[in-house]
Amino acid sequence: MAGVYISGIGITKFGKRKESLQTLMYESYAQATESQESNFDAVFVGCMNPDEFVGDSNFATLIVDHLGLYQTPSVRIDNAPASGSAAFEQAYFSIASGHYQKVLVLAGEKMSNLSTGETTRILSKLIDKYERSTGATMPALAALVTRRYMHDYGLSREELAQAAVKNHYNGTLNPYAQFQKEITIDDVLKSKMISDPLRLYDCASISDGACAAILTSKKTDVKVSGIGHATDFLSLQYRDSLTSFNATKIAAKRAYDMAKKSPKDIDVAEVHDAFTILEIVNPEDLGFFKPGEGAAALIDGKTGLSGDLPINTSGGLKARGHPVGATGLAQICEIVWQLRGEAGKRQVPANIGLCHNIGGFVNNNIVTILESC
Amino acid sequence: MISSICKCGKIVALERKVCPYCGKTMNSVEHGNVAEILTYTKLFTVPEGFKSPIFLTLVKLENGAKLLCECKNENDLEIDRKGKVIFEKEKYYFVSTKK
Ligand SMILES: [Zn+2]
Repeated sequence: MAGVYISGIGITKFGKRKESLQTLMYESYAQATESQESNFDAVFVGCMNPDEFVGDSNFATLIVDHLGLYQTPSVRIDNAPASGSAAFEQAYFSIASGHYQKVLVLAGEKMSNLSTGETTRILSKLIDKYERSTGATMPALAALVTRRYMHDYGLSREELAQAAVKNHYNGTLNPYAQFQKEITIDDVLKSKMISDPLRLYDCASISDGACAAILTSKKTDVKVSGIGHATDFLSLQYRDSLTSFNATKIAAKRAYDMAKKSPKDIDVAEVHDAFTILEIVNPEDLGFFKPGEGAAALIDGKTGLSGDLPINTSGGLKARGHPVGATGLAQICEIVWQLRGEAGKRQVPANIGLCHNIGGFVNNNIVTILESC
Repeated sequence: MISSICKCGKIVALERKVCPYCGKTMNSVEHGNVAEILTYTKLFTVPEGFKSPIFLTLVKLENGAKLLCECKNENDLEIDRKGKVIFEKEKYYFVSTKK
């Protein structure tokens, strides 16, 4: 199997953007291809729902046309909010198989055109139809998990808020983050109640943004050493555990096995903190901490910028913003910067990094391991 | 109450043809409506077409299957609270048996 390496990467500032989705993708593409030849064997486009969010379908063709990549094969990958990492995964396979030598991955979403009500309705379609019929939303499912976790492990409301506080601090050091402002525990606890016990500041924001990455069979300074992917039941009703997610555990094991690494080899990680509870549960499921110890690791600063295992140095979904289709590739961009020593004020010492991207309500997850070389 | 049962030993709430665990055909079984709260939330930001707030609970049925449903009374929202599931106006509701 051919080795797969990352050369250029690019990202737009996340947040409410007035440009079109294709213009945002062009902006990230221009950054990724700076001083490089821009011809590719194929283009993989990660985007969850351009049909409903921006009113365009056939988006893979639209984007090669917009970028002037006439005749290049192009395909759009929709894997719910794990579309960015799924596009990266398929791009990886295309080179690992030996079929292509150099491909472009683009990922993005533009969500701010619609009202919050319409966006909530679109995002609720990620949920099982029966469960949706009860009125359940993504924050409601996360709240059910949070309530049970608090009951089983004694997690306090204040400890949970610390996840948002930490990620907002990291966001102040990331010029591409949607929110570059520190918040306090009090700010979280006074924010609007969404689904008890989760408040507005426990939830990732609606955002616009795009990212790009170039994958190549030619050796660069960053290698893709492992990719693991797993699904779980669509319905929460079928899951064995309410405080741990099998799709993360299995995807992580597959990625670690492929990369011949273990959780203790990871120097830095981006985990999918769409809700604060996930900043606590994901690191446990990834094998970094024992079940029930994720909150202590956060409170003790182990996952902070000067901790043993910095998590979400970018600010995570919480502060960087969560344009659903872009998130997986944004995580990869952050880890590449960390491995290259290009992460500016949020730089941590790192040779091996991990990205964890969730599709649906934690039921289609992709774990990617990158390594300096 | 109806659940679906599979030869592999798994039981899921409501009617379902294909077992989500193993892919074999499931059979419907009728059973009692005794239930217990596993977790809950009071949902304030509801989707279009719903009235806020919604008291949502995930309950464990007497056969071990889980069901997401509404809770009739806000005061019944408590982990381990025992009660029963009733079907009313096309919807399942949890009602506590303890006063
Ligand atoms: Zn079965």
